[in-house]
Amino acid sequence: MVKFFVILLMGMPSKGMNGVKFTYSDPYAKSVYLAGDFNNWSTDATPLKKDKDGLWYVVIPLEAGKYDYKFVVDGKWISDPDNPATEGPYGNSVIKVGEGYRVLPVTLKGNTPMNSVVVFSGKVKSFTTIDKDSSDNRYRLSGEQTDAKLIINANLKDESMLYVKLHYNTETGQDKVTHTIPFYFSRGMLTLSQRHINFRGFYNKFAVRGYTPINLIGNVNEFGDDFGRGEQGAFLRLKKVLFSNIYLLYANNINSGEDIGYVRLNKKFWKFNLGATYRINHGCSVDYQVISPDSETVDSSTYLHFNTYTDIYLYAGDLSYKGPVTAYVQFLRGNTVRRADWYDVDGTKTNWVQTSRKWPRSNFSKMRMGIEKGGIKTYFDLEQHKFDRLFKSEIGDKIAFSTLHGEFINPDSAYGISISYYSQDADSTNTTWNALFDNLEIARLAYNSYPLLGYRHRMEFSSFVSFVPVWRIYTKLAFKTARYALNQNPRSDEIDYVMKIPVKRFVLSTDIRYFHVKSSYLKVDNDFLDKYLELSYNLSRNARLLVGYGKRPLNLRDEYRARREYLTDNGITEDMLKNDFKGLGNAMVSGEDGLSSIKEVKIWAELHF
Amino acid sequence: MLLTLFLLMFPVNFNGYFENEFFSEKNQNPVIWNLYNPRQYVEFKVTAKKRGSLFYLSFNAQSNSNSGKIYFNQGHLEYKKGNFSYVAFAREDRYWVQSPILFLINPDRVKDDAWGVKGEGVRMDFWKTYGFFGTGLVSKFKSWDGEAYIARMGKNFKRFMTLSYLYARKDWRGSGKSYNDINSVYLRAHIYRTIYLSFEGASSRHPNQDSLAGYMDKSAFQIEMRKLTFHGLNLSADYFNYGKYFIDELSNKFNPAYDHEFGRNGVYVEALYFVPYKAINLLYRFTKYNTFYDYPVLLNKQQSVFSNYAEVYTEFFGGVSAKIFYDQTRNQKGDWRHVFFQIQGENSRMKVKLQYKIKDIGINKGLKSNDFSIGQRELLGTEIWFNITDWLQFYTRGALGNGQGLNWESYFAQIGFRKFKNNEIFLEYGDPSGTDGDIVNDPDVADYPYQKISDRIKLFVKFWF
Repeated sequence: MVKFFVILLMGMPSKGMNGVKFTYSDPYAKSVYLAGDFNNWSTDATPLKKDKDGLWYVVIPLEAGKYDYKFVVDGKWISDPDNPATEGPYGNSVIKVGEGYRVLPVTLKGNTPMNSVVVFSGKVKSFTTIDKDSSDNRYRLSGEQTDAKLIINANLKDESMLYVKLHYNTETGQDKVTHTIPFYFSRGMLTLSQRHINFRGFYNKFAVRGYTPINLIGNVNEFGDDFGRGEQGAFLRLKKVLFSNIYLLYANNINSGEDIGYVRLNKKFWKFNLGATYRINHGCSVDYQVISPDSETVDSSTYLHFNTYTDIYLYAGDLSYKGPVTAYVQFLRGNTVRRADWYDVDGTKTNWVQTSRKWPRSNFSKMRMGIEKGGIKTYFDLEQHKFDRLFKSEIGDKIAFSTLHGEFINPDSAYGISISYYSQDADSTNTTWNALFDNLEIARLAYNSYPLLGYRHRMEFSSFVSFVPVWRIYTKLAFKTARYALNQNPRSDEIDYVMKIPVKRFVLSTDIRYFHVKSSYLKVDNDFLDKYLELSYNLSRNARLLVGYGKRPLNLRDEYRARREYLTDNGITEDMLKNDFKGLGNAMVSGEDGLSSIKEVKIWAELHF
Repeated sequence: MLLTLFLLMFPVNFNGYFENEFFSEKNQNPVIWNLYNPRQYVEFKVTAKKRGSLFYLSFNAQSNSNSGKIYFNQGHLEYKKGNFSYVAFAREDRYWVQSPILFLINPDRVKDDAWGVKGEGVRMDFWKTYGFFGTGLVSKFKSWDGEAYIARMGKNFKRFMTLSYLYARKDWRGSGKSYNDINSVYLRAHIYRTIYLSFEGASSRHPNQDSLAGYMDKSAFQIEMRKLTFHGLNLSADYFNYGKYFIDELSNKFNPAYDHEFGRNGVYVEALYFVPYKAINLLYRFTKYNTFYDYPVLLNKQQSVFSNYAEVYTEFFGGVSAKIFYDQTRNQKGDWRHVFFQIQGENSRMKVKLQYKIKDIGINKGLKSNDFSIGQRELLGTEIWFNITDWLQFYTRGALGNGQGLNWESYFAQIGFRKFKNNEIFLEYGDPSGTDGDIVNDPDVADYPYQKISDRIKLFVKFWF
């Protein structure tokens, strides 16, 4: 499916090529069906397929109108968690479809007598931990902690919608002097739509899905699939203005202060689509902190601080043809102005020294040509930078080749090859031993490049096998090994075993992971074995109680995972670790939750409303 | 706990407001047209109402302030029955108490000395109770330790007379006498036809008062006559005498930190004439007083200050009006004269205002920063409202200044978009603060000759539910 020019509300069902696309994200689900008005609420007429990221999807042709629907996940009825529009006593999800499979916003009725247009929803998690005290070797009960998220949706008409998410956490403390309470404004989005106008003002929330040529440059792909988290800004779409569609976006990164401006014109004629795009990344300021390789101790004085300011200007044009075969060509040209200030410690390690450097303007260009048919995508990229050239080709989402040549590459040339095999048996409920290797990624050899700091590139081999459930017992075994190509080569090896056993309302699950990380740069050569056992009891569809024992393995990148143990060994507390990790990328999002769960026994309750 | 109780007992309403603000300003290198940190503002309001009782709370959060932490914004609990009301409030502006002539109570001084509404307090009012009326107010400051107590009570003797008494006290923590209190009496009498005669007299106690000062030095009074009419001529006159040590920290007028008008005595006369059968008004004001202060210096000999103000206002057919005034003040620092012309036209589609002012006529001082005046200058200003459609409005305001070899300017433009329900969008260019006080009469543009047009763009999106 060609995704290049579609910009949609996140999470909602969206317009597909031959119908409306419904998605449901749950990599552990065994079967997902779509049931609704359109198939007489059949629980097996419309199965969803799972892609390699665990996202279930189906595209069905629907006439214009309003439909109620639900997902049937492993035999259970579930409302679409990404669609805030629900109605009726059973909380059916609602979708409104226009001509040409366009998905229209739905007016929600309020669920509170306090205001007829306001819908409250949210999640409360309350937990306590029992930790072994290192001083007297006894188990101690910690204080109760609560984490609550309250979502307020105000839906005035089809055209206006406000989303606000508030976050409450007892850890943040309460300040009675300044009248503050530990509630935070976490996310927000205001949507205004009319026939030819769509406006969105957003704060830290996915607001735009932009499949545009803009994501072709490897190091500036923030505007990739989902855009808006960690950003704040405004998006405006004008339809049929000056004979084309016009997209305008301004965004400001909440952490770095970087601004992104984006303008796109898009014109469709017959089966062709012609687009022109201009984008600017402006005044980018990113504060990197890394531990100095020379330091013997780890504290704030041994960090190296980098502030980089980058301006990137991109011009892109694209032409696509949608017929029996989809073909496209995209061309992009841009230049980068980069400046960096960095702080270093001098010989005495007590005084900060500030240095500044401005790189010369760097031009680059890129071309991508591709063809798609029957879900098989093939493309090749040619990327030319001032000092290096990249060639990359991907065939049918299974095999990819890449080569990189340049002055800054050590060795001068690098080659990458990625081969993946992925398949899914739609009728996976037929449990046979033949289907043992049902979901099997046999090989993956990936190439990554980190241009400024950290590892230049790495090689990684990973595979996992997920067994077809036997007596509803889900089992997964994964293996990964990675080598990083830098002088102080780190290496990591990992084996992960996951099992889930549901017994009526109870679910017993375990996650055991062994990993070995070695890095002279990070000063680690450690083996870790994380064992985690969890028992949950589903009180109702919206509430459950859980007891966890052990350490839940962290889904961190290797370098952070390695550093975790190293830092804690050197007296850095978990809080400091979490603070250090803030703003260092997506790895931290999953990392923070994981870090706070490094406890012996944890008891908690969850409630969704 | 209290909140939960009220939410359970009373029918509750929940409302809110959301605002996006994006702001970009042109700077010097390296970052030209830098987009400043945008602001997302959210506010929630909870109202519970039952019979005469009202409970109100609001909270707000701002994305670029304190990590989006939610703050208590304001709130009150109110009870009303018949001619009686009681309210306990926090961070709300409910401090107004009447002092008709001397203006002894300024709400800004009662709520807190710090900027913004921060204090909390309780207030009780009753009115039309056997002809009596009254107010009691206690205000607790939050940004520093102190309180204000105000009580006012009076009686209306039908239409002929009003008599009231006011007591106000400001307390702060300190050694010795650490308070300032005021006792005041107000009398208003209807003498003949439309003529009213009023009197307000007050005395104060304050630690800064000279111990040798006499009673009159610590008192102030003013007598006022209003609405002496004679064939379209309307006359008013005042006599005032403010003691040298009459200090009232709950006012602006007698506050050493603000207008410091103590130590004055003089007269004020106003004549307003409506020209018969013409839409022309003539206005003349005259003030003359003697003062002991060239503040903060206490003078050996009193100095005289007087001011004249003459205005002609006329309306023509087709929504056109014009105003001309001449303003003169002569005090110990000099003689300040200004002349002002304004013409304004208005219809259903647009409204245009043009202003021209010559300020400090005849003064030719240098432009050094320590001079009291920058010298004679001419100012030209304009303001335009234009309704392009029912939902699209254009507004612009600007001023040009010229004098003493300098030229300066201020400009602001705004497009208002009200196409969506419960929503307003504004796109702005320039800095509105230079001319927001009636264009050329705003001191920002009239007295500051280095004003330049700010290259800045702002986008506001407002939404409430």
